[in-house]
Amino acid sequence: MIAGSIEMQFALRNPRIFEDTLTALQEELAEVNPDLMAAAPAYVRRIALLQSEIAQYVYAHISSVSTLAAVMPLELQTA
Amino acid sequence: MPIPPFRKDGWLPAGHHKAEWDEISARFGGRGKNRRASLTTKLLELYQAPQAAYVSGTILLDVNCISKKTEPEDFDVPIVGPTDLQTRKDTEPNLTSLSDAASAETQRYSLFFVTEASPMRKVVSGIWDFSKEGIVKGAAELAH
Repeated sequence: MIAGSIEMQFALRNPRIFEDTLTALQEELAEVNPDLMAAAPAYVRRIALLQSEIAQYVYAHISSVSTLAAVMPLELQTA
Repeated sequence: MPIPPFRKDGWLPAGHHKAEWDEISARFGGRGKNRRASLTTKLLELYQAPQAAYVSGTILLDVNCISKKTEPEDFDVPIVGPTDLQTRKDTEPNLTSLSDAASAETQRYSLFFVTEASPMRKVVSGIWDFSKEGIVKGAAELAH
């Protein structure tokens, strides 16, 4: 559970890092063994968990959306 | 060089502190049947399986893995290794447990594999350099 805006800031950052790492892993594995689908369930599950927690936090703090935009990492604001 | 003492806030000083298994086991190993003991057994397995398969790499252990708590919380183990580790685990039984997600979930830990050559290696390892509250913290780095 996300307890505040600082935790929210890190929660927003981490799914993107996990997604990029998973993509990199899949690309590397494709070179090693094109028939292999990358099995990295820890990443997939953690991304889903973080997304769920972010959604819950936003839902519970809907009036603070402008504040969330202020703490959101720049790359996510422009994505 | 031993792992430095925990800070007053309970975290290790910032940085990745190189450690040996003997120190991890002596300082943080559990006894009996508590969760600390089962965690230590699991960590030893994660440490030894790559060694037995002649796989070099490192695992990071933060305070959720190494502490004095007899009932530690769920924990993450980021593991850095060669690209072929992900493929070899499908054919080499002593590596299979490394990425058995169902088993890991049962034992309340998550294993995050990243390759040595990954462009994301430093970035993703950096996730464990901060607590979820944004506090800069350290981890023990265990080579296998």
